[in-house]
Amino acid sequence: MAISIRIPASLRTLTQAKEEVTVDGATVRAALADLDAKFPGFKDRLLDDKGVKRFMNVYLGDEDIRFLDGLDTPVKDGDSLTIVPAIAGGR
Amino acid sequence: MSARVLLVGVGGIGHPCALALAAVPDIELVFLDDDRVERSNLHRLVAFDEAHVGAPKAHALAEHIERELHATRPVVIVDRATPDSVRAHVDDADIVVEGSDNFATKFLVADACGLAGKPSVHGAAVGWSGTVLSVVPARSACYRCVFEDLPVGDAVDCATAGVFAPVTAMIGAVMAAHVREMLGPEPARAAKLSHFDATAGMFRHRTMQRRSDCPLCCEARVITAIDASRYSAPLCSH
Ligand SMILES: [Zn+2]
Repeated sequence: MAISIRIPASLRTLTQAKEEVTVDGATVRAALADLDAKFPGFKDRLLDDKGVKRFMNVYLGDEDIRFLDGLDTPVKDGDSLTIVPAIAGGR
Repeated sequence: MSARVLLVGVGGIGHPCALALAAVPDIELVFLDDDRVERSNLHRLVAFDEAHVGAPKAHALAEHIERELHATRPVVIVDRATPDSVRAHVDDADIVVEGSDNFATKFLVADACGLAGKPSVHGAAVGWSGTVLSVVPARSACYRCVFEDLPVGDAVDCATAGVFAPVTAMIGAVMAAHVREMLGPEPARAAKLSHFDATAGMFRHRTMQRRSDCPLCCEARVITAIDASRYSAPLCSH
């Protein structure tokens, strides 16, 4: 079950600068857990006790997982997840 | 009749956006910014040079647009968006372009636009990536539908990450394109979240859904007025 995850520039310190990594899992939750196992630190940056942190957005393809089944959204081989954090800056 | 476009912040993002909009017919630009040009800003404030260091960004940019681009001189308000003033500024505008550098101002302006029913275009750039979110009130997802509330802890702002000038230029240009689309016959087409990743050379656009429990735009919304206590996050000084 190979799921690709696009890592935002601000979190690439956790992936040794890799823009995209491949993980395993049958749900978004499992895929993110595998991401954290391979590149420790993601869990703290992405999740809190309510789920995905409020200023983080996780997309399966083009769909925000909040509008699917959240962390329990099933994923299948070849799916692609993207993490998009809220950012402020550019003055 | 011309459309009044309010730019909240004419720094790294607002500056290229204003230049792109300056010559568009039937737009009146209004700059709201109280910041001054610093030498370290010059790489991303492309219309300025050494001689502008120390000048108010809004005045210097308005003068450049009038003198060098021979376009209508924008209205300048040397001030910042505050809980007390934001509604008056937003109520006077037809479209709001928000390119501020901190989450407190982003949510403040987003809330004022939601309450006033004004379309808004929000832009941000940090490091090698940037986002643009365009909102048509009551038609599309608002800033709070997407980003919910001020971050606590480790969100990314310019205090913790630098800004790469080509990214601010790209984000400002896309915001200008969204403004033009909003002034056209199908404003809702502009309503989307665009995410730019300079390292991958990739722009991705997503149409966002409204959240049924959004505190700003759902039927049972809890935000019905600007309350200063909602925006008490540390401000970014750069
Ligand atoms: Zn909303």
